[in-house]
Amino acid sequence: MDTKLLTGTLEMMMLEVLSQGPSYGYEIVQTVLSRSNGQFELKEGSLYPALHRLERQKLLGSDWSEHEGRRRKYYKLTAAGRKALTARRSEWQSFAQGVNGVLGLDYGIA
Amino acid sequence: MHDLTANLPPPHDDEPASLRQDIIDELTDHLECATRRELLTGPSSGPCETASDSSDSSFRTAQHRALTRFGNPATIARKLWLDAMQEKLMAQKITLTLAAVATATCVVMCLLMWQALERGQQAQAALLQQNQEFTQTLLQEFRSSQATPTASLIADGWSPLTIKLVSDAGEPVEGKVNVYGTRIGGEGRDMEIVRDVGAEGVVELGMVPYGNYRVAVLATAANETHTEHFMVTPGEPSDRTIVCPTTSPPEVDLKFAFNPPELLESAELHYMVTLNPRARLIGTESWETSEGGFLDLWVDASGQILKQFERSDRIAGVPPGIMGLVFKPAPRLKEYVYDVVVVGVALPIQMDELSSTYRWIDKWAIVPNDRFHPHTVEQPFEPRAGAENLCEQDIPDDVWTEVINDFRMAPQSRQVTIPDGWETVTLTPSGTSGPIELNSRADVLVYFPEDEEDTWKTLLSSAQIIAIESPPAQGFGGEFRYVLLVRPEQKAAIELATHKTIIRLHNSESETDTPVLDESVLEEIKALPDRDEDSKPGF
Repeated sequence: MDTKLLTGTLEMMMLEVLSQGPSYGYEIVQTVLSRSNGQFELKEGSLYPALHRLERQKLLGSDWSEHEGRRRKYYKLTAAGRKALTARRSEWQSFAQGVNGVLGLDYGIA
Repeated sequence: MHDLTANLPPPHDDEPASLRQDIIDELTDHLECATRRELLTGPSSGPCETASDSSDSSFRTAQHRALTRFGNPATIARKLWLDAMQEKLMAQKITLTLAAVATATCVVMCLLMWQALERGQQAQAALLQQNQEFTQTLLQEFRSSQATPTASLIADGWSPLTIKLVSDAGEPVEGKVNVYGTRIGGEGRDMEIVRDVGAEGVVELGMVPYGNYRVAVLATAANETHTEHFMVTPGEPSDRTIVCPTTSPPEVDLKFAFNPPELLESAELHYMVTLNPRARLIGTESWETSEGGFLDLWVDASGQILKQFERSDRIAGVPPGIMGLVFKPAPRLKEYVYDVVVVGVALPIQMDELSSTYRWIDKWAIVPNDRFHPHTVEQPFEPRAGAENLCEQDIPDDVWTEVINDFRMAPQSRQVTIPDGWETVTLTPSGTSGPIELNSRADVLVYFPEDEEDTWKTLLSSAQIIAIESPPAQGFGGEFRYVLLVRPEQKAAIELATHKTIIRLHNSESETDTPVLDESVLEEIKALPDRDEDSKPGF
């Protein structure tokens, strides 16, 4: 997968994963990889700065919990994050329809 | 395990207490999960399932692969810490920057102020130095002038001034000098010196600044003064030589002669004469008596000078607002040229009969200026010592007319001797009617028809009011009575006309009636002889 195409969609995909329920960093990476059929293999080191940025923007909240003797940080979507996800999803659909229209994918044009 | 704290910045004051530990715990959890995944057979395993025990080599391999996929955790930990602290660090930087700018501004301002103060102090020091130098220079000049007071050439506009008093023959003269000077461009007196001049006739006034000077000299022996002006020039000695009188003019005897009318010849008139002595020339300079300018003299009817007097409104016993006279002994007149300035006449009136408007002193009343019109003459008179000096004064008729009118109001007028061939007739305004008006300020006024002019002139032209008598306590309706001096035949006609109510004497406030003439009376009047001009009293 071309990483240029991934630019700008990382935050939208993280918000989408968290819209399904609270999750932690490693699990988010694996979920994206699994749901994209292995297409989106995020560089794990770049995940956390993005999560922390969304948290500072109040789009995400977080809680700590204990797991096998280790502290684990769970992220969850806030109301503002849910609004932001809806807006970005709409933008993405418009963008994708536009691109698909140009490529003739939705109308079966060869 | 990798040291996550290796690249973290040192602890910061504003740093939240759990920030470092949270970052470490989160990344540690992620790496633990990733390592366990690598220990499993494939990446498709669960997100973070519990791995089974494995050998150390397998574990290190898995850990290495997890780190490879993750990147440098210390670097990522540092980035997370910096991202979290970015706002606070930025705020701190801004605060520090502002503080630095403020500090720098303060330092610059202090520097500028210090420089300004430094310059001000330098300027003050320079000014003080200049003042000290100037003061020192003045002090040196003063000491220098004190050391050589008679130096003929002195710098900076100071010169010695010497005044010499000499006679016509060049002999020294004693006296007194009063010198005052004004600097060029100045006003008033900048300096004044008063000195006595001894028998040597010289007075050295020392160093004086250049400028305009006035000197007044009193020649003691002659008792005369002289004033002149001169200029002191910078650097040039000023020696003033003034020729003075050595003796006063000789004394003179002086009498006056006046021209009173006949009616007043027997009255005890007195006269006030004002003389102004002129200055005389000694050499080329004029000198005048130091006894003052104008001389007010009190002269009797014979022309003899009785006293000298001064006018004053502050005399004990004199009512407020009344100008009185203060008498002094008669002065000894000297051989000057006198200008006779003013001659006035005074009437003798008893004190208890004086009007408050009269100037008065002792038993003499002076007719006020607005009534008796002091006679201004400006006549020069030059008496000579040893000669009989008679100063004749010809007082004009209009002045005498005023004096006579005032005299009529005085009791003394009733004591006037009736000239031979004349009689008096007394009339009151309400007792007569006709073309006659009596005016206390003038003679008898006659109103007459044009065609009867001669008749009435014959009747009244020579009649004169010689007295106005005050109304008695009873009788005559409280009116003044007018005493007329007339010829005997005129008296009969006037009394007849009065009896026939042809003549009416009335006050100025009364209306003038149209004269009504009785034909028979007119015939009698017309039969009267013409008046004799030579037999008129000398009015």
